[in-house]
Amino acid sequence: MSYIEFEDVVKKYKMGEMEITALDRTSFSIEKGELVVIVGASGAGKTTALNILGGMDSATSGKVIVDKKDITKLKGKELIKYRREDIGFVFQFYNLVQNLTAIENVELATQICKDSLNPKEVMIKVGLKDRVNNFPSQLSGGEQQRVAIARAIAKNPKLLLCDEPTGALDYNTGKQILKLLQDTSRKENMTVVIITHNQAIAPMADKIIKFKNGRAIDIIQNDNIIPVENIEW
Amino acid sequence: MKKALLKDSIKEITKTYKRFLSIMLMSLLGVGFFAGIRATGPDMRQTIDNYLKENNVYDIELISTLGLTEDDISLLKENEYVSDVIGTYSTDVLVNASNNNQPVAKLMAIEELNKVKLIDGSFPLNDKECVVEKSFLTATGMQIGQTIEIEDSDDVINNDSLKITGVVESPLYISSERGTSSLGTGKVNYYMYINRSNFNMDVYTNIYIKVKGADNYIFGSDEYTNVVDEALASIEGYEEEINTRRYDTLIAEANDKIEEAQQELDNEYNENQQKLDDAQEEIDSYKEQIANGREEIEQNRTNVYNTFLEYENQIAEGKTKIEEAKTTLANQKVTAQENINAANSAKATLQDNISQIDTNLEILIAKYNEVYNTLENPIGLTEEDIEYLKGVKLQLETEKEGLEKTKIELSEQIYTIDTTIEQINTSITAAEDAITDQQITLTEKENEIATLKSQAYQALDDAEAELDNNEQEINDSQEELDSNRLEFEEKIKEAEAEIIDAKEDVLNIEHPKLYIWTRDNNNGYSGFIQDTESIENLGKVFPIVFFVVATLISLTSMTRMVEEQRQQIGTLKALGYTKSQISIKYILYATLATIIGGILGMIICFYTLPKIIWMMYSMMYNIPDFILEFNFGIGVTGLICAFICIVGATIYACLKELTEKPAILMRPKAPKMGKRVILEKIPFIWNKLNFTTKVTVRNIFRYKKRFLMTIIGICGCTSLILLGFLLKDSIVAVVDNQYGDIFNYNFIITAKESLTEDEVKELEYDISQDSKIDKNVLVEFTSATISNLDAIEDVQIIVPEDNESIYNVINLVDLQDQKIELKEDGVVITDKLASLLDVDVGDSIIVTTNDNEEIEVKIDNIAKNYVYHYMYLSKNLYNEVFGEYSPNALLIETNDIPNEEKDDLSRSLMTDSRILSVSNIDSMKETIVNMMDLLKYVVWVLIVSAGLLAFVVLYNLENINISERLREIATIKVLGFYDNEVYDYIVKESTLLTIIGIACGMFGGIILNIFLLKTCEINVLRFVPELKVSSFLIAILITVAFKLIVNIFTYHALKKIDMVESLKSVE
Repeated sequence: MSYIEFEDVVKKYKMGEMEITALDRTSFSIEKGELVVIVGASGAGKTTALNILGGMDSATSGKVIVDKKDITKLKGKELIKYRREDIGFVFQFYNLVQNLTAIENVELATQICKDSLNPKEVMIKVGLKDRVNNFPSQLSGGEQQRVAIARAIAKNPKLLLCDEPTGALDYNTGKQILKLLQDTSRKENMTVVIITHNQAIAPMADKIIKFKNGRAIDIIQNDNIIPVENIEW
Repeated sequence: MKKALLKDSIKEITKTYKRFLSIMLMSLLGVGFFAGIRATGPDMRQTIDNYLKENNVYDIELISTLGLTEDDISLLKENEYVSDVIGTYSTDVLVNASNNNQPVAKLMAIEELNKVKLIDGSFPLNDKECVVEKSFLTATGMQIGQTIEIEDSDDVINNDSLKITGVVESPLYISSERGTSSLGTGKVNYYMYINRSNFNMDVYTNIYIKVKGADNYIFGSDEYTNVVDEALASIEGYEEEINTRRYDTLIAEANDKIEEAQQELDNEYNENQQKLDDAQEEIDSYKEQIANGREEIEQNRTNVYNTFLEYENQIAEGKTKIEEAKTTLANQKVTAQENINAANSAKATLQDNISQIDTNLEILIAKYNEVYNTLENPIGLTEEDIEYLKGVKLQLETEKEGLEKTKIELSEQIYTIDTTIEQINTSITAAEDAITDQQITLTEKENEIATLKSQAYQALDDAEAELDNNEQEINDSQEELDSNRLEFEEKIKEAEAEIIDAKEDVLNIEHPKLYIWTRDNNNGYSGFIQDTESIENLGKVFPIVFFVVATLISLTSMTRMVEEQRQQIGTLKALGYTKSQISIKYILYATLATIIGGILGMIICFYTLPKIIWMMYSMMYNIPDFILEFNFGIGVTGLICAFICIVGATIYACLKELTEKPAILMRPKAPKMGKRVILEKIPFIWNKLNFTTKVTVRNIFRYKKRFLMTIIGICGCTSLILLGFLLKDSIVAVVDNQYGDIFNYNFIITAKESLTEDEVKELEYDISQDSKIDKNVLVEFTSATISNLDAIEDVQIIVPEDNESIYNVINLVDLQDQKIELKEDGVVITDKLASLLDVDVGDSIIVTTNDNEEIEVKIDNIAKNYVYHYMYLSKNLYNEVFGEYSPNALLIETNDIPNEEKDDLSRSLMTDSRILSVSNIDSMKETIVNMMDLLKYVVWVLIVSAGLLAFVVLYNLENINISERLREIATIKVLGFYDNEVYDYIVKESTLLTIIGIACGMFGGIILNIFLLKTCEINVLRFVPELKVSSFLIAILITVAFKLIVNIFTYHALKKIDMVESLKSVE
């Protein structure tokens, strides 16, 4: 049994009288320490899958097991506890609290976690040693995303979920962020899931999952992992 | 406007109905309160104006201290400003009502001006009927049809016995104040109306004037005041003429009267003098007569004496003669006796001869008889013997015969002697008898003379006695006459003195004082206008708090809305829509919310708020119908204000966005920079704060606008809630302070006016014997008016019998709670009066007594007081400046007894015929408390609406807070914050703001309270801001409660926030 099991997950939304199926019996599995890239066009269901995996949304049916825990069975507070302790989330638009300094944004996450890492150390790890006391508005986009990543990994989560982490960044900065994520996965043996519509970055992953029309149509175990700095797009 | 945009606008409203509703509600509260409270003043003005016009109430009133005449009326009629003039009568009388009470009533004539309204029964048909006010019947328990007796001491009313035929309302007395009087307790208790013809007065007491054109304006408006002031100025020009004429007339009348009196006096003098002189003459003549009588009697007495002296002499002479006769007789008697004795001895000789003879005879006779018997029986005898015997017999017979013859002769001689003796005896007896007779006659005569004499003397004595009596009588008459003369002289002297006095009085006749008054001098009207102004002041400030808060909140909401739709605005702009086309959606949105809310607010508040406020005032003023008007102007003003604020803010927000290029608009707005706050520079505080608190503190400083909005909003609401409670406390405290702290007495007992000072003191003693009574203080209780340029106020004057006793029942202290001593050189007045008159210690005030005397006194001190105005002064000072002190009231403090016993005491006191009235302070207190209870309605309106505002404000702010930070909230939710942690994270901030807001609100409430008490306070009451901890706590609790309710909404709103929001791109 894999570290993460996504089994026959169905997610349906009701939009007025219409019923939209976002995920249609999707299944995949992820091993511990793997860097997974989920790719697919807009509306393929990859974000929905991420949301369900991150405990932000619940599946209509199916099973999601993370580290032997069936998160589809979690309710309310348990689900929050799951998010709190097991999940680190990196947003496309960083979602930093503007009113908090970089380090405080990290602390925002660590203060609610039991096994959190030292925020300062994490900041050093993400390369922002000198910017800890800066406010987000004083940081560049890449730096902000680094803070966001620091905030996510400082919680010491079982799973780091990244939703289009480079979406709002320029090419080089994006690359640096992806590198950080790859390094983190390697060095910390962190399970990282990156969602992107950019097929080009797929080679950096241990596993590539392709989404189309709400289904994981292709799961590729990547034997030829290319370091991010070597990927061009 | 393009159809799509219109559709979009309407959709926007339905989509964000909460926001729309909240803006609507804000507009409703803001406009409603503004309009409602602002409309109350005009509504009240309209109400009193209608009432006064309906009853044809005067504009100007003339009162003269010496009365007004027909000449004055004709003079006034000619004035160009005057449209109508009437002269009428009024007087104060004591009424003997059914119970032992003797209230003072103002009797007035029913006229066409100042029309009274019939409430019940009918108007008087004749001079024996009257109509009264309702409270008179209620208080006395009398009914229509019963008769009252009035004590008309000046005799100005024809019929003193009046049947009540109806109940009326006088437009002259709209408040419960009936003015002052020189009778009874110094206050008029009721008004009554009688027919004009029942007055018996030479001059009018009042002249009422309607001013031309004044009815075109609302009473109290500047236009009205201008018109009346113009007329007033013109009429004031007559003052001299009216006064002089009246004065001259009075002087002339008085002089005439004096002359008449002098004439009368002279006549009287002459007449009485004559009478007295005549009487004296008569008495003198009587006296002379008596003197003459006395002389005559003396004369008579002498005459009588002389006469009787003569008589007595004669008698004495007679007596002498009788004595002489008696002596003669005695001599004669002796001679006669000698004769008799001689005769008797002759006689005895004779008788001896006779006896010899007799013896011879007997022997002869015996011889004869023997002869004769022997002859007769001749037996033995011879004839010779017989013839011898015969011869012897014959001899014997002859011898016998001879003897017998001698005997006869002798007898004859004896007889002669006897006869002689007899004769002598007879003559002596005769002489004796004659003397006796003479003696008797003399004695008789003597007696007769004695009787006559005594009779004569008696007669004289009687005459003298009568004379004496007469003399006494005359003397009495003389005495009487003398005393009469004395009296007469005294009277004349007096009359002369009186005339001199009267002449002096004429010189001293005061020039009449003419009062020319407008309606402002009517306590009721001016009070009403003052109260209206209070409400208007309230309307100036109070709704503004609402308005500012409501507008600020709406403004924030709209700004937020525009900002939220930044991207859409950018898109539309990029599509080529013009600025106005784009902004019209928001303007429409704001306009609709403002207008709908505003109109609803107007409709609700125009009818409810004035009505609620009127409910309070209707207790104090007797004006039947309140006129509610939809005051379009005020409503529109409020609405325009709201519109300008809210829509203006919307336009401003739109313009701010629209000036940006579409491309910039399409991009998310640069988030506000995070900033360090000052607090961070104080590490020992900052470091101790926990993480979320730090965030909170930083957020508060980051969103300054929201920070201010929230604080202002909450501060405003809390202030208003607190204001409500503080007002209530301050109002209630007035009564407790006055009747708990200042006045400790329970009853005021007023003695009947007829009682002398000693009788009043006796009454005091009697009352003090009651075991229920703890303290009793004798005072003179009267009233007066104090006026200066600043104010005209009625004041109650209390003069204690002795200066120290007053402290037993009145806590006479100054504003610093220091005991005030009553001094000889100045009076003590109460603080509110001092502030109304704008005077201070050392200043002088003019006191107008009930007799219209103006007295200037110095203020020595100012006393703490809450209800009505009082003036305290010492007895000595009173005697010196006001006139003779005469105690008429007792201030009584009972022992601590239950109310029923107090009532019993009051009832039993009322049965004392010396007592005019007994007022129970507790019932007075109750009346005021009841009156003030109504204020609580207003306070509750305040509290409820402020609470509602607080709720809306908090809800709205929280909503804005959440919507502005939606992304942040979604993010922290994704980070795994528990619901309560998210809640904490958000609510902590608003909680802190609420706390600050509440703290500001506390101060705001106190300031508003002070301001409101200053502007709204009634002239006779002194409100002191009362800061009760409980009120603060309740105000805090209410705000906190609303905050907690809003928190519940917030909690659920936070829970509902979709974490997916965090994934969305920045809008």
